[in-house]
Amino acid sequence: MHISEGILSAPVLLGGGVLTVAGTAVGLKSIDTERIMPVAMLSAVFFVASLIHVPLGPGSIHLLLNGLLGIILGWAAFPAILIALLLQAILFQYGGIVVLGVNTVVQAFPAVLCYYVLRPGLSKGGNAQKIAGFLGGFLSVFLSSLFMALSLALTDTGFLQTAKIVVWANVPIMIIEGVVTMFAFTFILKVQPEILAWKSYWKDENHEVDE
Amino acid sequence: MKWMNNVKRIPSALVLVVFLLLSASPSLAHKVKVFAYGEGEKIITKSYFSNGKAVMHSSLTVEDGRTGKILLQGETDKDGLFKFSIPLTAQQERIDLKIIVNTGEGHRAEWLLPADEYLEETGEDMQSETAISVSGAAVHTAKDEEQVPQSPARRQFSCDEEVVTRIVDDALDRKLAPLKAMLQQSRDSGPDFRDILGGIGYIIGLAGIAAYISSRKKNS
Repeated sequence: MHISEGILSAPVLLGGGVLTVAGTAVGLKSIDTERIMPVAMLSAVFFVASLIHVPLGPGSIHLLLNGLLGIILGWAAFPAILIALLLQAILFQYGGIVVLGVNTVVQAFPAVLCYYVLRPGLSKGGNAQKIAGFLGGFLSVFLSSLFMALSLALTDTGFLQTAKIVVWANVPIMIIEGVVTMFAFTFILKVQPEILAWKSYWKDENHEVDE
Repeated sequence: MKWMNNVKRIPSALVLVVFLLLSASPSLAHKVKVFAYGEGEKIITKSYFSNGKAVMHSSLTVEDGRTGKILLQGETDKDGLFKFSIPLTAQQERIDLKIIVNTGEGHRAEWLLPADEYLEETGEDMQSETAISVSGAAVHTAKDEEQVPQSPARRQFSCDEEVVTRIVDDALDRKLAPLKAMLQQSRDSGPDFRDILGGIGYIIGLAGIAAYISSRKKNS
């Protein structure tokens, strides 16, 4: 889900850039010393995830894992995704430097939204948690598709038509991401719950950790 | 209780299966590429994703490379190919063609085909050259055998030369086309292992810098 260079108009590019700067600033503030490594690790995961390719649909789709970053990192997903996308643009020529701002917002903003919407579900145990994990992957890709369609629509083509193409093309990846995110999340919760951004939230509210 | 243990193992087993399935296709992510070459009177364009899969049923635009005027539009077929005969204006004015493929979901690629590259294939210069040599030959014969009307054998010969040139050109085009395609594809094979490791290295390095800065802040 990288928009190529030379498609979007200047105002859209500028808007994306401004939003990315703001989001990254908030994200960087939320990172304290102990959280630097988890953020970097997940940034690396995101960087590599795009290379895992799913041969479905008329084209080719790749994993995003922005939902996983969102539900684990919260706002810190912004700098993590920004760095990963920058490196992908430089090393793989995916997307581009000029569209970096838009691409970051398109992928990081849904991640942050998922963090807020799904946090109650994720902090519960059992099936509610699993469903929330699945939705983390599913919704983030769905919202990313919508944002991407929106940024394309703001430039020229009609929103509904573009949205249809983008969303339908990404339906398989939504399901796959949902499953991957669910398992990855429950695994992390068992093995390394302290890397979750809302660990403090957990302690404050005296929620019980599953098992 | 043993049953419970087995149930607990299912998720991790599934994770493994999913990851194995995903990594089983070692292909690469989204990036669109297009390239074009002349073959005889036609220009052939091929569009594909960075993993080599064809770009099917996507809109393709041919523009004037300098002015950006749209010359013609089309759609790629199921093999990612789109063929068109060289527009007359392009032929006459020796326009550099810019071929743009847009998949409609944020992916776009372009390829500039200089006039020299495709016009040479149709052999406009070559034809005029042969024409000169043919007329030269004609003058020669006229001088030598003034009274004798031009022999049919000689005309046959000069005609053959033209035909042979064309046949050779066509055959070369056909034989070289896959080679051109291969060259193009190998030129931009996707990210290699070095790039991937390099990227991860950068991220770790950045984390190190961030850790250093934050530890200094804490100390001061």
